[in-house]
Amino acid sequence: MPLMRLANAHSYADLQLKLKILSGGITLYEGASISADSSLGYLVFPALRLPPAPLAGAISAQAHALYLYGLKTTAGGYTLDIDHMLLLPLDSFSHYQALINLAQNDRLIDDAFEGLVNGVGSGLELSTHIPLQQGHFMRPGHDAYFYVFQTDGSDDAPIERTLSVKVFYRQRKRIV
Amino acid sequence: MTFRAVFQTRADARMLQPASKISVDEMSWSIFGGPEAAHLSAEGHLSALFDLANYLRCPLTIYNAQGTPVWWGFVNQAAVEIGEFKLVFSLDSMTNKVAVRYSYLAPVDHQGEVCTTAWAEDAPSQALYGTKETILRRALIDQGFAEQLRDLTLEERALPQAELQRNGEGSLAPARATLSCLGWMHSLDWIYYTTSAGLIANYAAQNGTQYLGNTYSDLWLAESITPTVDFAIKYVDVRLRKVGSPTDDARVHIQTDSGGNPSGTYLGYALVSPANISSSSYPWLRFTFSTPVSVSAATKYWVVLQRAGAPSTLNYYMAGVDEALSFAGSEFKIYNHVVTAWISRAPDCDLILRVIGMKETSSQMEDIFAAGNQFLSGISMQAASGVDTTPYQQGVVSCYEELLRYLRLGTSNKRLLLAFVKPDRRLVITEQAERGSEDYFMDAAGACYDQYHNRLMAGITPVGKWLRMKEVPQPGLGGRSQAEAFIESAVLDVESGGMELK
Repeated sequence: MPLMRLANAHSYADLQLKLKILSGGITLYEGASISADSSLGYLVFPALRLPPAPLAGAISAQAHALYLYGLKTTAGGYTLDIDHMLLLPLDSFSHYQALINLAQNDRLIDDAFEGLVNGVGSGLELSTHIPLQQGHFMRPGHDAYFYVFQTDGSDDAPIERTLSVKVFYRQRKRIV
Repeated sequence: MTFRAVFQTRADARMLQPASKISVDEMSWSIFGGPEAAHLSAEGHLSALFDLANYLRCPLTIYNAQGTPVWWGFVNQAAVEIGEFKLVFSLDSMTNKVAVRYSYLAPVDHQGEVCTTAWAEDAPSQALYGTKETILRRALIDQGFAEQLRDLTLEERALPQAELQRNGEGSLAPARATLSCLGWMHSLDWIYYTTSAGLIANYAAQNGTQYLGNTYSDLWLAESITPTVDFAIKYVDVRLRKVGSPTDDARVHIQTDSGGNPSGTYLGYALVSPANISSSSYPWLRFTFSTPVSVSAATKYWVVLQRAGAPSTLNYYMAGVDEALSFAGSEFKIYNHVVTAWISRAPDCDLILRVIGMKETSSQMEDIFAAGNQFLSGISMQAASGVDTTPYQQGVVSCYEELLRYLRLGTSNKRLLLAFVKPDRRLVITEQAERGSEDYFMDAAGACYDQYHNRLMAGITPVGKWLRMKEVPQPGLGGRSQAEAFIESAVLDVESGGMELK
């Protein structure tokens, strides 16, 4: 899932953005356009596959270039203050939509065993987030990387914010 | 296929999700709005199922397993099935702004005057759900009947009522609930669309005639008009005939007003050759302005009818007029060159005329959207239709129906206009892609691919695209593939994964 962090939110109404993947000058993928919400300090694009079509994986893939396209229906110069783009893997993925913002030192627990997502603050628990998916998994023999993109109560994504992650796992015995 | 539905409050804030277990059963999409309908089912405790009735008009977004929103709209109906019965709560019958359009009582073999009551409104319901208008139609009633009908209807239907139905599933099935949801485009169906733009007319029966250019005392004729909205005049139609064989053109000016008379300053004019004017009866005669004349609301203008040459008692024009003075708020004047002044006619009359404005349909769609929008974030018109029509609309037509009419009318390129409400609820209108320019593909197993042959993710459909079979060669006729189809709608059955395309 492509996530673009803006150093500063833009102020344009009706700005449409989309991503394209090209290789050797040939378009391989074109995503659906999104409306760039001026109230957000980040943009979420529709999920895309990289590379777009399955490859054998025996050797390295050719270089792919990601292009950002913008559309405004009125002519003029427009500027996006882009900080970075995160390509968030979706193999084991969830999006936690906050009902109640977490305060400093609060915790968000995604308990795959119980199928629950809860916030914990001051030693008390509360349903603070709506998860689009629940639980994460790792596959034995494969390196696992954990990526997190977080936003604050103002819908900005400040880069100075940090969080710590603790992972506990239980071995899956059988799939029934 | 796994999909997750996330509900919001009616004020678009995040909220705790329903306590019942919600499953997405079916979703559909259309070229006229994008997300069209969705059907969800719920299992759980009875109180949690009944709680779903409180979700009416709540927004919801359905995400696929990759976290991409694939469907969005609002809850239109909740039904709880218990044993033999089903309780249905629906916004379909709910209305919180009601008027009655009726024909007044009339003697046998006569038509009653068509009247419309004032609106009656229920503000608490509007604050909760938004405004949903209803115009009831009745024939041959009086004002008191119409107003009582209006008020009773509002009282009964201002809030969603529970309707008890027989449950086809039978008494042994466990209690469950279903939610029927509609795409945001349907919210434009809640408001009627009316505009006075584009037509000012005196359609009264002809009841008199008036010389034009017979002598210097009837050199010019003028009728005042006062538009209620801004528009641009493209045509003026009058009932005109010629007498004898005039060789000079008939002419119409649009003039500004000066002290209650035509000012002499014309904003535009149009001519018709005498060869194209009938010498019998009084047919409608059209004057076409090559450059439409812009007129402003609440400003008085004059339609001035003239002949281009000198008066003649043998060869002149005659206009049909209405001495019954049916054209309320308007004035008729004659320019008498003998006294060099505009004078009133005796007896007074009105010119029989039609003043017609045209506007590009894409621009009209922006007007319709502005009139009917309550819940969408805006409109982005990404294609000019190139088609001009008269915007005037005084019928009982919703903004949704009026938009669909113009979307189907398409563009001057002979292509449809497509409307998609985006996840941020912006209505984006584009022109149908040219056949062959960015066609999607389908394989023999029914899987769909984009123009670059990338397989579409779950919940992403080829609606609004030309679709070709992957395996079929593409020589076609005249460069066109015979295996192409334009996809206007799609219905996805989530359990089977089957997608029905039209």
